[in-house]
Amino acid sequence: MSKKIIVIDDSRSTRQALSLVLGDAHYQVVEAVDGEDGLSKIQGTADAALVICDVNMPKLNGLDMVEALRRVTVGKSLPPIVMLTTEVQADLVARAKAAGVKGWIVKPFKPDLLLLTVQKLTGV
Amino acid sequence: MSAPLLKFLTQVVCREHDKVADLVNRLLDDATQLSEQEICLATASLMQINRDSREHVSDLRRVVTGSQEKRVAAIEMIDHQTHYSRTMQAALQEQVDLARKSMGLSREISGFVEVIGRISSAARILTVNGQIESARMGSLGAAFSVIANEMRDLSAEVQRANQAIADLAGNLVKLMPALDNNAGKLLQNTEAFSAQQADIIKNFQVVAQQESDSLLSTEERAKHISDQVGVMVTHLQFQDRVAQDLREASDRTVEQGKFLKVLLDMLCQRPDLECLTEAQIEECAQSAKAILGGSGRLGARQGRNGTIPEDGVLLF
Repeated sequence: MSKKIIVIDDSRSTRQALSLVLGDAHYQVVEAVDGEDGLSKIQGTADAALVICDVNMPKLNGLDMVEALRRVTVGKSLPPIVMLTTEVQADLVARAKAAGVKGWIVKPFKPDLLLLTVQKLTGV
Repeated sequence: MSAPLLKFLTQVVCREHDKVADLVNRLLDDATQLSEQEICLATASLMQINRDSREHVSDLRRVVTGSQEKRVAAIEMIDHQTHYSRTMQAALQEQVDLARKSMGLSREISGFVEVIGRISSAARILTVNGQIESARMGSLGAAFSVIANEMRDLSAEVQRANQAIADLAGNLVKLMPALDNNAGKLLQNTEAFSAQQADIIKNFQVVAQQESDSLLSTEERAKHISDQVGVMVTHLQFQDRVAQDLREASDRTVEQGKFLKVLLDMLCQRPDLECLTEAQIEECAQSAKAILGGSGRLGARQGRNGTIPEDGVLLF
């Protein structure tokens, strides 16, 4: 049974690139187009093994989404979350870490490194 | 600064800003189109190439494995044949030796035939002498005459049998070189057969090496393709970054446009002002910003500051 990964990004091409790379490695990908959609998909996907989330997105940015998720799921277990973004500001990275995010990957991502990170975090 | 001059400048900037905003929007449209269609297509194609290449390697590996299994089975069969061939060679060699021994025996038999011939001749002479003596003795020699006749018949029979043995031995001696020759030829053929089998095994080994080299080379090429696809997929994402930067530029241009228009409206509502102080300009700017409100985005991307490792992956 392939593991499920939720990909949250407003860029269709990034979502597709992630879907292709992860799908090629036999992961099942669930796509979300912005922070609000991502929040809903995470709450609606109980068996997700990982969340890969952009930071800069319309409606609700990635960091606000993670913080909101922590608030609405207190006491519940959540899949590990990795931010995938063009941002490299230390304060944003620190904010993500404080919100329980497990990793920070800078775009453009290298497929092999991304897969390695995904494998580390999902245990596959 | 003179208020009319500021109004004039703001109007000029507003007009130029509209042109820039239009240009940025067009660039954004193009970049978005390129980003969403071309990149998706190119990425999908690259990943397909990568998959095809990997499948090609898997197919080749299957073929090589199948070929190897068949080769192993064929080599086992050849080994068995070689074993049979060696057994046959030994048997043939034995046959050649036996044929040579038989030839010697035939010659020995011919020698004995000569001796028997001589004995038979002597017996015939003795028989004749016996008949003469029995005739001379008259009725007293009649019994000897019967024995002499029996001896004559026996001698004639021995001579016929001896002749038959001599003929057979002669025939055997004549056949032996042909038998020896045939056995020799068979021996040569089995040796040639063994040599060809050895060549076949050598050829199998060459083919196995070529297959192994080919598989290795294809695997290396597939790895190279995979690496290149990874690099290209990474590079293609820069298009997305360009689109994102342009989107941000577009958002900021829109905000600037609104800001300039609000500022211009404010200036137009104060025709009494002849001269604006710095504080009044700042007050107008803050008021305009307050009217517009904040942006939903986090701001412009900045350069790396050492927080993120060079490979772009940071795990907490």
